[in-house]
Amino acid sequence: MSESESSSGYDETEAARDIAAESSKQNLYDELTETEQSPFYHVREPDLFMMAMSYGRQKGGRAELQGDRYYPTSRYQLSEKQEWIIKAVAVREERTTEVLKDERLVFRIAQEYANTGIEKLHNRVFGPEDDPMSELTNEVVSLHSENGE
Amino acid sequence: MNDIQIIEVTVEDYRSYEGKETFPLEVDEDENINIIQGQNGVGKSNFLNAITLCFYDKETHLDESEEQGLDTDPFVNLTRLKDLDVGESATGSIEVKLGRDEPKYIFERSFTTAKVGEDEYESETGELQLHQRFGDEWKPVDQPNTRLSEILPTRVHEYFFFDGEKLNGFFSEGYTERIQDAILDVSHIQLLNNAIGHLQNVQSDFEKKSSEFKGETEKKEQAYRDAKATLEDLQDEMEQIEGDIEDAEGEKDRIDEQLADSRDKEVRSKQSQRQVLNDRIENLEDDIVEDRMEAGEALTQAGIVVYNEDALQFAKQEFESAESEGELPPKIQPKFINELLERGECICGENLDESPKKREKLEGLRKDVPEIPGGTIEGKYEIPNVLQTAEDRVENLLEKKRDVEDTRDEIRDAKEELQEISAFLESKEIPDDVDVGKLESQRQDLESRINEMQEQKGQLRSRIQSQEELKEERREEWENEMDKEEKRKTLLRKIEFVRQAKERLRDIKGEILDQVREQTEEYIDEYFNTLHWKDEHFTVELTDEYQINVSSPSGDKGLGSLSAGEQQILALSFMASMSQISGFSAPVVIDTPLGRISSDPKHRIARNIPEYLTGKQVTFLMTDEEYTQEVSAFLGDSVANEYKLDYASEKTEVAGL
Repeated sequence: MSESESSSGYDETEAARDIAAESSKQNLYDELTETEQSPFYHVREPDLFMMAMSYGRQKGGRAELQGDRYYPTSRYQLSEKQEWIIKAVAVREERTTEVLKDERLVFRIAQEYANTGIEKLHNRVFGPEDDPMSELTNEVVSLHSENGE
Repeated sequence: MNDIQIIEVTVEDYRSYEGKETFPLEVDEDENINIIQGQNGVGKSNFLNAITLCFYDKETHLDESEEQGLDTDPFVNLTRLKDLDVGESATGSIEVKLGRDEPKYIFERSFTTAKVGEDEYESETGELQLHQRFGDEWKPVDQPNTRLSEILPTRVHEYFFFDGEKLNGFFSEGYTERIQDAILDVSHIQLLNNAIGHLQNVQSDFEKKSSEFKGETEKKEQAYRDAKATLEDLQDEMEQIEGDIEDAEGEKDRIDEQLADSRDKEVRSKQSQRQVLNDRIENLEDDIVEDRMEAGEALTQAGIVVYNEDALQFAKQEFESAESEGELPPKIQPKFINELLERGECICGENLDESPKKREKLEGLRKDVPEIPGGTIEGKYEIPNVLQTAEDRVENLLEKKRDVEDTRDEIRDAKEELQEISAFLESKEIPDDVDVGKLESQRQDLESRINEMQEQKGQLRSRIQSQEELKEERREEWENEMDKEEKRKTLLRKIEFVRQAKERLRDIKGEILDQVREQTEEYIDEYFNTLHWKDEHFTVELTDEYQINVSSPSGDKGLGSLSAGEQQILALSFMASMSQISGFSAPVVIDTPLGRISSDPKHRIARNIPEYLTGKQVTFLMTDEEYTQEVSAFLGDSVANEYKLDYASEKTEVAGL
C-alpha cells in the first residue's frame, strides 16, 4: 500500500485544474451555446458542462475520453454547489463517501458522463423535436415530481 | 471660417431661373446659417440641383413626382427657349465660388439646350471649369475634378448636400445597410479595397502558375479552384437575392405610403394600426429572444439538480449514516480543538490536567479530523442545501417557460390582427381613390415573396458557410501536395505570404470600420442630444450590425416608437456625423430640414439648430411652413443671409430679406 493510499482503497489525489472533454466535441459545446434556436444559447460553458454531465447520467452512461482534449471549463469556474453535485454523483457511482479522497476519480466520473451527455443533448436539441426547450422543461418538471413521490 | 464655405452661387438661365441670379452666401463663425425660403415649386430644389450639377454633373435632388420627367425637361429656362426656332440652341451656366474668408476657387459648368422639334428639346452639359486664386492672380486649373475631389469627392457629397424631407424614410426597412454603406463611403478605405483586390489578383496568378505542376498537384489545385469558383457563384447568388429583397421591400414601402395617403379615413387608420402592430411584433421578437435565454438559463440550473436528485439523496443518506456510525465527527475545526488542549480546559469548564480521559478524547478527535476526506464534513451540510434548491429552481423554470409562452401568444395575436387588417383592406373598394384592394393584394404577394427569399437567403448562407469550409479544406490539401516538392515550396511561400497579407489588410479594414462606427455613434449621440428639445439625456447606440438604438432614462425607444420629429433629428444627426467623419471641411446645404414635422416640435428643434454643426456654413432651403415667425426668431442671431424665392410668369424671382 502506498503512502497516499488509504485503507479504503482510494488514493488521495488532487484533481486537475481544468475539466476536459474530447476535442472532437468542442463544436457540440459551441453550437449549443452559439445557436439562437438552442435552449442553451449564451449559457456559460461551466453550466453547460454540468448540464451535459447530468443529462449523460440520465440518458447515456459513462464513456472514457478518447483522442485529443479540449477544456470547456475549470474547477474554479464551478460554484460550490456545482462541485458538490459532482461529488454526489461520484458517491452514488462508487456507493461510498470514501471516493471523495480521490478527487481525480471524482472529476473523471463527471467528465465521462459529460462525454456522452453532450452528444445526447446536442442530438436532442438539433434533432426532430419541434420545441426542445419545452420538451426538456417538461421532462425536468416531471422528473422532479417523480423524485418527490 | 476654418471650413471651406460657399461664398456665392450664380445661376444663369437654369431651369426656373431666368437671366442671371446671384446668391451671396458668405457667413462667419457667429452667423453661420443661410436661409433660402420659398413655397414648394418655386425653385428651392433647383438651387440644390444647381450646385450638384455644377460640381458633379448630376441633379441628385429630384422630387419623386419629377423623377420620370425631369431628365427630359430642358436645362435652359423655358422662357428663353420660346424664342428659339427648331435647330437653334441656347446656353446657360452655373458658377459656385468657394473659399474660407474670400473666394479661392470658382467652379463653373455651362449647359446647352437645343430645340429639336416643337416642344422637344435636348440638353447637354459642358466640362467642369475651375479657376483658382494663387496670391493675387487667378489661373485656370487643368484637372478641376481632381481638385474638387480634394474638397468634396462625389462619393460623400450626399452627406453635405441633401434633402431633409427624404430623410423621413431613412429608418425604414433596410436602413442598417444604408448606414453601413454610408460608413464605407466616409471611411477612406478605398485604398485598402484596391490593395486587397490587387493581392487577390496576385494570389490568383501565383495559383495559376502552380497548375504548371502536373500530376497530383494539378488535380488538387483544380479541386481547390473549383471549390473557389463554386463559392464565388454562391456569393454572387447571395448578392442577387439581397438586391431582390431590397427591391421588394422598397416596393412594399411604396404601397404602404400609398395606403397611408388614401382619402379613406378607415384605410388610413388601418394602415396606421398595421405600422403600430409591426413595431410591436418587432419589439416582441426581441423580447422573446431574451425570454428564451432566461428560460434556457433556468432550464440549465434546474436540470443540473433534478437530473442528479437521486445521487444527491443517496450521498445525503451516506453522510447521515456515516455520522450515526461515528465515522463522521461533527463539524469541529482542528484549530478550536488545539486551543482547548493548549488552554488545558474543556469546553465544559473542566481542567484537562485533572481529567486525563477528557484530554485523551480531545486528542483523539484532533487526530481524526485530518483523516476525513477533503471537505467531507461540508458535504453533510452542503448536499441537503443543494437538494433544497431543487423546488425553487423548478418553480423558476416554470415561470420563465410561461414568460416565453405569453410573449409567443402576444406575437400570434398581433399577427392575427395583421391578417385581419390585410383581409379588410383587400376587400375594400373605394370609388375615386387608389385601388386599395389591388394594392393590398400586391402587398401580400410581395410579403410572401420576401419571406420566400429570406428563406432562400438563409439556406444560401448555410451553403456558403459549408463551401467556405470546403474551399479551405481543398486549399490545405493542395498546399500539402505542393509542400511535398522543394521546388514548389517557394511558390507556396509566396502564395502564403500574399494570402496572409490580404487577410491582414482585411483585419485592418475591419478595425478601421469598427473605429469609424464607434466615432459615428459618439457624433450621433452628441447631435441628437443637441437637437432634441427635452432636457433628459438620450443614449444612442450604433451596434456592430449597424442597428441604431435610442434609450432615455425613462426606458428604451425602438426606432418605430420615435416620433416623426425624433426620427428627423436622428437622421439629421446621422448625416451630420457622416459629414464630420468624412474629414472634408465642406459646407452643408439641406433642403426642407424640418419637412413634415408638426409645428410644436419644429419650433423646439429650431431653437437648438444654432448648436448643430457650429463653425460650419449651413444653408437651409425652407418652405414657408418651416420658416415660421417663431423659427425665424429662434434662428435670428445665427442667420447671415436670407432670401425669399417667388415664382411668377414661369420664373423664379429672388429677393433678399
